[in-house]
Amino acid sequence: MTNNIEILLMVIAVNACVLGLAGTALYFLNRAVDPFDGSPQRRRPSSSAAAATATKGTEGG
Amino acid sequence: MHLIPQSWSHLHILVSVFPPVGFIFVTGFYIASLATRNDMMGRSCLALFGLLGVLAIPTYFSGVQSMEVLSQNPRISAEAMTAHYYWGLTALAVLVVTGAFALAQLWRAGKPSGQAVAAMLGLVGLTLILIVAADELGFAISHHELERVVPRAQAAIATPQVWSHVHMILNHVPTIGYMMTFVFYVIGLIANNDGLKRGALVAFVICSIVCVPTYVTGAAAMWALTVPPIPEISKAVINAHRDMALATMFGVAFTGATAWIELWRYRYIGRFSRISLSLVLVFAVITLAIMAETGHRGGQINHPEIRVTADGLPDDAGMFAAIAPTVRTLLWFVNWKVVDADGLSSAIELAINNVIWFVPWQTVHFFGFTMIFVTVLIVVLRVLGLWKSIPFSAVHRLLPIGLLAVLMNVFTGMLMMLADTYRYVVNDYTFAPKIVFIPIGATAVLYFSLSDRLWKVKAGEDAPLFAKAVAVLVLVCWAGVIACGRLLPYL
Repeated sequence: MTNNIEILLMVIAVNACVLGLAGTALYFLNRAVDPFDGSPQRRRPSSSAAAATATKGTEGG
Repeated sequence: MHLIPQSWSHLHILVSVFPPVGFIFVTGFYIASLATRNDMMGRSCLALFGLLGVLAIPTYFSGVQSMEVLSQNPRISAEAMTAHYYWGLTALAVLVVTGAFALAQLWRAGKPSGQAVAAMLGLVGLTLILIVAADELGFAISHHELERVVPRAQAAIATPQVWSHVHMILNHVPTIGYMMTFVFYVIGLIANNDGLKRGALVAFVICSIVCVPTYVTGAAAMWALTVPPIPEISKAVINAHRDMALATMFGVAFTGATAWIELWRYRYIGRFSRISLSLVLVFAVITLAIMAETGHRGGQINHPEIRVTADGLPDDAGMFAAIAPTVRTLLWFVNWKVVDADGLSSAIELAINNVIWFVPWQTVHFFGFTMIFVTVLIVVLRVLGLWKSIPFSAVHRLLPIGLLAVLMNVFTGMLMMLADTYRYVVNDYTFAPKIVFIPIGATAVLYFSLSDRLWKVKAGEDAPLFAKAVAVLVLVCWAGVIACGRLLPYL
């Protein structure tokens, strides 16, 4: 017979795994397109490049 | 697996499914080529129309030979065969004309005239109508289960055969659709044509989405064919088919998700990534192989005329025997006795009926639909005119949350459905509308990544009227999915 604690632990384990995977995927997907996320070079673009990219994003590419 | 047909009937069944679904897909690409003025795409479509027209020859000869063999079978109605023959003959004649017209257009250099395009589309439409009519009459030849009258005493437990009918029609869309899309994709890669690549990625996503209702109608068809039992239909063959269908779902999820991500990413980068395109290609090849085996096993369920006597019918017995004891020990939660006897789907059914498995996946499902709805709501409200200070490209960035949530919910939903397929699919009034809303809503979301006009909507600007109509459709569909899902225990 399954007790409540076991069910709770399973809920936490399964959801942590699935949502953790989804979160990781989302992080990498965002890093692929966002100049302000991800690697150190990407995080600190030169001011003119950052301004250009930001403007491009704001204007919808 | 027999990819090479072993009988005339088998060849006829295989070849005859290509023109109807193939025409739908090629027509989609043809219209896209006209809208985007993509000459390479247009010419590829004309070549494929021509190729599909050529298929009229093997379809006719295999059909005539099948008739000769089947006329000796007392269970096959001569009237049904005659009706199918005459409608089929008319459809094939028009198919040849359409194919020849397409090849003539291909031969002519330069841009086709408006009249030629209209004539092409008219011929395609006429061919499709005739082929669909001939196919419907073809079903009547050997699918006697569709006309089965269940005795009144058993009527309460019988599932309507309309599910089997819909499943037989739907399952050809992703299978043949994947093959046609694959051809366009390879042409796009070889010719380095971004329009073709983009079109093929969209078609891969649509094929993957259509697999959801295909799987669900398959589950209902299983009940329709097994309760009350039909003597010539084996549950073991159905179990083998649905285990491969489960593998297909994973294949299409990988292909569809990778294709969708590349479409989304293309918006920001403006070019395709070679790695992603290669990944889609690899996933598509693997998925096509799994689909072919799934289709073959499905065909074995109720086509005694295509069975090869020397081969046993497909079933799961022994299929999982090769799994090493160490792996079995590691996966302690799997009931290997059930897996070995009745296959993986049956083992999942048994496991998910236990509260310790059902509740965690149900919780994931709840997280999933909140993620989908929030993403949809934000994007849709911006398109409808709320938060005009935000450009559309900024809210478009959120769409991957929706994609990941849809993936989560398709698989958790499938697990929950497996816990009690009969109750969900057959006995609940709101499950069918929910499964209709999902593909419409998911396909409509593609528009947000495809429309150039919508992508250019800057801060302070209004979205085009058509985009607003699509946004309303998306919102209604996903609200419908949630409402129908919540009503499942009550209606």
